[in-house]
Amino acid sequence: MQTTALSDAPSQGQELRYLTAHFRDLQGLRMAPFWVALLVLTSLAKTGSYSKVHLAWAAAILIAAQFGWLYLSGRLYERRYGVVKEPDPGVRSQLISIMHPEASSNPLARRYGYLSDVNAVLFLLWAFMPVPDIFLGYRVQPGMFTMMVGVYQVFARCISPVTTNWPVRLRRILAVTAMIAMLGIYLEYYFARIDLLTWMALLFSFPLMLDLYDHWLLNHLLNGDFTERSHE
Amino acid sequence: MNKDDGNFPMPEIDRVVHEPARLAILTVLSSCEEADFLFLERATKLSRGNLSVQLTRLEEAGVIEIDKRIEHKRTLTTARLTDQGRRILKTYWESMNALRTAAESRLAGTAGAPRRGRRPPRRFVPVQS
Repeated sequence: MQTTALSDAPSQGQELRYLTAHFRDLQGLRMAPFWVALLVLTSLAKTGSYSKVHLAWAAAILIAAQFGWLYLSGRLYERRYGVVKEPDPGVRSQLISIMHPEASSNPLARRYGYLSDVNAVLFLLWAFMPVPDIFLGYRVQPGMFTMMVGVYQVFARCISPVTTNWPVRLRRILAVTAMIAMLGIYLEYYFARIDLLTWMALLFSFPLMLDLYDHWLLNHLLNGDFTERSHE
Repeated sequence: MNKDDGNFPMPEIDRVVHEPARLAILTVLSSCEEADFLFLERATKLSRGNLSVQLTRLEEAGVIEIDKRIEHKRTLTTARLTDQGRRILKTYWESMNALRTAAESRLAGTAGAPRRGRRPPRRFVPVQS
């Protein structure tokens, strides 16, 4: 029993550090409802029984409402799981902060991860332009849209540090797989094998899957078998 | 440095930090600027009473500082490592690494060393039925 506890200690320490450092990144329910609502809107658009203008307005209102949900869901997570204040990244812009001289040995991952909220807000601000247009039927640059979803929502998970814990490793594997699949689906759309709405639905399903996995991982790490017995 | 049997140097281990519950708390706090009581409770899986006792001990030792404030109409108790606490934790990990290195080198030394004495002959113990 003692030997098991000693051999488990480094991995438990790693898990605690990972959980604390990525507490905000693992709050997947901040963005998940947004992807679900977009998937529903895409399905409604696919049926063709709703006006394009109405759907475009609904998408615009949904994006605006998501700003409020980001704040509310943050409060809900605080009430349920507590508050962790991350070290001040020093500078606010992610592109500058990646190259910040005070960055650690893995600066890209650390700085990117700390600014996940900033990523969400920047993505939503940017999404105001193309998403309603897509529902109106305009061919907005789909390659650019895929890239923005990837950069703001998936890329951070690909470069995020991992521990020896398999669910944490799986997070990165899923993110890398999602990036590759997103590129593949974009090419399918580019060569006109799938239509715009199918492409959108598939694209939105990847960040949704990753967000739901993040939420599960947060619960898994907080409710793991690292019980009080191991402290006594 | 202590010596247990005359040839194995034992580094000083800080007893305040070495206790597993307190070490778990300090591991969490070393990965962030500050964390509140609820997160520490959930992350370390300690009961409220135990966590409260351990936080008080750490605060008394000057390793952490505890702050209580009202936020969104509820009391928020947060803990953070002090500068002294960070130094203590760093020294602790250095001591543990030194201990591990010493133990590993000792094991490596004994594994390769030839056996000096012969194994004592097996004693026959009759089994009484």
